[in-house]
Amino acid sequence: MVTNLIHARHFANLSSYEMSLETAYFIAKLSTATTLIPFFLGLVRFRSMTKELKLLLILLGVSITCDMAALYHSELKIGPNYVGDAYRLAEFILLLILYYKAFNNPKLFKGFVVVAFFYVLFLVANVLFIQQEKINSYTNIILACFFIVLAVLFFYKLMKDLPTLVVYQLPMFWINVGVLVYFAGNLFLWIVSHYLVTVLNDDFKIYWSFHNFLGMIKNILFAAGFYVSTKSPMKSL
Amino acid sequence: MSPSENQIVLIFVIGTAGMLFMAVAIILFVAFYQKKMIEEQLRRSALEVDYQRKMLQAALESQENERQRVSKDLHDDVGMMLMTVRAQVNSMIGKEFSAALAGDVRQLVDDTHETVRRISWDLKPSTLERFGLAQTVIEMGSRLSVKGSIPVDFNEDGNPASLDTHQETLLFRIIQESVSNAIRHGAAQRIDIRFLWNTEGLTVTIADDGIGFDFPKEHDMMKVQLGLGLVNLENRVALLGGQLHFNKNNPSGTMVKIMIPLHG
Repeated sequence: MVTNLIHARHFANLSSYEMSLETAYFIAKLSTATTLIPFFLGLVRFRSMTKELKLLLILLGVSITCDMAALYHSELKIGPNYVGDAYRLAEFILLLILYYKAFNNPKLFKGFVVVAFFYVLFLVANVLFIQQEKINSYTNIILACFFIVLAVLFFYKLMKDLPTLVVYQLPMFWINVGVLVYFAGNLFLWIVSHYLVTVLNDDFKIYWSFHNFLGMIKNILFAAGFYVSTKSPMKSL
Repeated sequence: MSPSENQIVLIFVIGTAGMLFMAVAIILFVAFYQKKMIEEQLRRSALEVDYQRKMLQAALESQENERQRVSKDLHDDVGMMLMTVRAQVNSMIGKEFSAALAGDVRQLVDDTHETVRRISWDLKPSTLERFGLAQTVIEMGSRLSVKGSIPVDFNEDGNPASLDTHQETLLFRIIQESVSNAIRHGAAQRIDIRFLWNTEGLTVTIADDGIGFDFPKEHDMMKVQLGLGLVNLENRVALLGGQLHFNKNNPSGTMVKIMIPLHG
């Protein structure tokens, strides 16, 4: 969601159609605006929130900050998408901690640390040597694959533990749904984005609007997670 | 758009649609199946609670039945005999000593004593503490054979291990209940009791040649058919950490098999 504006602006600049630029901007801004819904909902219910939700609130805060920074970054036309990369790193680390707490299994700690180490290593290598100035889709692909697996594993845990009769009352259920839909929906976009950026410059904003649309769905699902958090009988989830 | 571009777009569209379909399918599966699983778990919990309630009810009912039986025995047997003794003694007052009458009174006192012993034995067989389970089962068989003319055979194979008093009492009650069921419900004419000791534990089989009963596939249905007696048996077997099985006996009747593990 964070790189909505920067990508929209970047790819819209490649377009020769003013109407498409406006549409892309509108969708990107709408996507950014929807980030505010779970963020403010989280702020209102901050005191009664679990650690997982507080982590998500931090992630949303980082997302909004990066979106603002992306606007400034884009205006200055610095070049490489460092803001987006920084956001992806923050997103990865915060979601990783969130899932570590949600799984509530100390045995996963070492595995998560190793994954985090290699992810950071690859992200740096990708920014500096592999994709460099282009959109860093390779990092996103790894990110998506990893969190799709974690989301499915979390659902498995949910079905094994059966913590509540009504699964919709669990904040983590909605967060997990948001993560799964967002990353599963964007995986192929990120797989083909390297090609699309280099070949289909003018048309890429249409595809990227799909990412923004999924971002909106994710934000709404996160908002649902914050909404049910005060009603949830299982605070640990 | 060149064909390769078309292919890329196609890959994107199909891939994204596939991934989203998979995600939605997983979410829906979790949402619906999780609810079903919890409902199933709740149903099982309710059954378990119901079973526990029945076990408690059975224990209380068994206790009440035992009290009623003792009360009836004391009132109908001992009470009547003592009343007869009293009448005999009253008739002797003011009369000359009669050896025959005194003999009758002594016989009545002996019968009363024997009845009291029987009631006492039924409540807690003294043989159990003094001579152990096998001897008590033999004694129970002898009493049944004499009383009701139902031959009870007892066999013991293997090397008997020592059981504590609590285990022996529970096991004896299980055998007593099974034998009682065979006579009362199965109309048995002959009962075979067998102890088989091995390294894993003790297997007790109580087989009769009675009418048996139709074995329902569902355990719950068997409970309905056999009532609280079965719950009592299960309760006692569970206390011993054992297993209880009902089978059809060949050529007729029922075979109750109880497997008790030996700890330590």
